[in-house]
Amino acid sequence: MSKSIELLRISTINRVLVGSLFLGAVIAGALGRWTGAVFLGVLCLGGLAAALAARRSDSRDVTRLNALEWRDERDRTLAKSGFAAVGTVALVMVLAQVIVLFVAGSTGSAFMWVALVQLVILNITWSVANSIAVRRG
Amino acid sequence: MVTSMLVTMKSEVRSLRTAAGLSQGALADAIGVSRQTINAIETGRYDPSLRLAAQLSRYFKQSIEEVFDVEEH
Repeated sequence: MSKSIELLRISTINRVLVGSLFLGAVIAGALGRWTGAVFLGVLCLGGLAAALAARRSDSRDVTRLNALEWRDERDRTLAKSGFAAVGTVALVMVLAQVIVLFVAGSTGSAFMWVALVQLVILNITWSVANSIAVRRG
Repeated sequence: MVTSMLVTMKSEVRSLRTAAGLSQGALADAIGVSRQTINAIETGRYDPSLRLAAQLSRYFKQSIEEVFDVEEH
């Protein structure tokens, strides 16, 4: 199998992530922002290397989970537990962020709007995910 | 009346695999899962889905009940 075909065998989510980072690096480079271009390029190569390492047949399960390269139903079940923990922490942190911004009197600032939008999107995502999970039983 | 019940699953995967002379990796490749998943099933750390249980049973030419036994306590 050719190397280019081999690269396509990484998971869809990794293709999106690596592709986005590559595109970001190219655009940053075209705009002359070399620090950003190098940073994004390194992240792109690092992500690709991690995904390819996780696809090796002898890779550890935690390596596959960290690299978003799930091989079977157990990997997907374990990944759900990990993402659930991340989701809980994200919800608590963004709520704490909004409270701190209100207490600090940052009402109306761009940072406050970003935090509020994050809070709303996270809660909508949670609600939609719950509905889908219940419907699928 | 509702009573709480502890349910555990025992599998014969290890004995069937060793009887077939297969390594965990070889069985994993044949079934299409990771070696760690076979190990987790054999050691009782992971209960497979019905689909995977059926796949394993079919591989060993056994019924699901012969490979997996649900124990109620």
